[in-house]
Amino acid sequence: MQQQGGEILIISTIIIVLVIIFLIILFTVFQRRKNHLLREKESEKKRFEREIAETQIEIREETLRHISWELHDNIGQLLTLAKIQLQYASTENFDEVSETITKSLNEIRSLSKLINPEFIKNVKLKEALALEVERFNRLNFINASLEVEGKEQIIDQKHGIIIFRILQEFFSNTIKHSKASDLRVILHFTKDKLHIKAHDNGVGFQMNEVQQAGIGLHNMKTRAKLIEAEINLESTPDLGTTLNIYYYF
Amino acid sequence: MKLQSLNLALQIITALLSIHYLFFKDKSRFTIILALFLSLIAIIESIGAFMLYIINVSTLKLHYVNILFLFTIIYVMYLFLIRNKNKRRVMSILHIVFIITWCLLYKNLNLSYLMILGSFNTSIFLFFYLNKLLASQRIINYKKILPFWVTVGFFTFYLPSVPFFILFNYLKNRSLFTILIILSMIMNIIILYGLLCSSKEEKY
Repeated sequence: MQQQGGEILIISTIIIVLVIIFLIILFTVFQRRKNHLLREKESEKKRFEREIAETQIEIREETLRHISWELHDNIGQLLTLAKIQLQYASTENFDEVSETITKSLNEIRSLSKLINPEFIKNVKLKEALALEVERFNRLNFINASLEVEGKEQIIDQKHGIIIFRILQEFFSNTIKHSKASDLRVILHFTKDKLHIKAHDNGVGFQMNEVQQAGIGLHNMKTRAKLIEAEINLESTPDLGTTLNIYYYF
Repeated sequence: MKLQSLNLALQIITALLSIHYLFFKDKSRFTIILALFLSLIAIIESIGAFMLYIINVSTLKLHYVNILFLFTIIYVMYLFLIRNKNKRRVMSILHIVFIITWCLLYKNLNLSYLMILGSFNTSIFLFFYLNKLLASQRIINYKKILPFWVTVGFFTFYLPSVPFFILFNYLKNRSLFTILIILSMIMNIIILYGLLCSSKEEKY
């Protein structure tokens, strides 16, 4: 009986020790896996932050390009005109000179909004798009419009930067290559998603040709993926190009 | 006897190293309590060995009183590590039950029931701590965390010693005490390893 008790004791102790070893190994495996997942999450977060910073730099560069262009080709031209008008000033054309200078001042005021560093740092999607559309119309680049449908919802500020940059790239291509006369941007808010549709009535292109060499499109898709948004570009020759972005809240 | 002496030497070394760790590596509350725990074990075991083998006196009362201090220290040690209010409440209830049982059994000096209850409580505290490590949202290098090694050490001693204390009253063969000594040695070796390999307390 005594011997049997001893055997039971030894066996049960060994079993418990083995169970503990198994549990510790299991803990180690889980802990390693968890650490691995956390590291991945961390690097993903860093990549996102880096992408945001790069996007902000791109927006800043684009803005500076606009400012440079406006100063030289728009405000510069207006002030040159005012100077010429002043050289031949008389009481009859005084109003014309005043009008030119007022127009220059208005252009400078509009431009100053873009120069404000807070604008780039805290880009708010709707306001930034409205400014962009207003700029296109003011400079007669294209006949642009912005429509907002549905109940507006708050968009994460960092995600807004990404979406704005995607649209900015689309606008830039529209103005440079599409020969479009109209650009229509629609923000359609629903409870769980935002559908952004940007459409131009330009010359369009063959989708398969662009997909082969479309670095711009690839960039757009990569950025959209970062914020888990879906992106879809459609184009038909002579009928224009449409960009659809689906952003989920 | 040889194995017991070896175990005692190991206990003293672990206690000394924990004091060294406390003064030179990390002065956290956990380390202070751990040093206190290991020192108490080393001192009581030394006194116990002296009483048992030199002056030939029973050590039952000494160990009975010691058990209350040891399990209270373990309870406080893990109370500092676990922040979850519900878990702390469970720990407190378990320890109160232990103290009440200690008081009730004081007349009979029944060590085995107390050890079973204390080991069970300690295992629950250890599970809570490991669960906390797993649930943490931070990257943890657990190999460098002293409480992890202490937890593993306690696990290897307290849980496997439960069957020993269940059969404690029926055991007449002293050779089976070797199991307990071996478990104690393994626990001390694991804590020693933790003291040597761990760095300053990590917040998680």
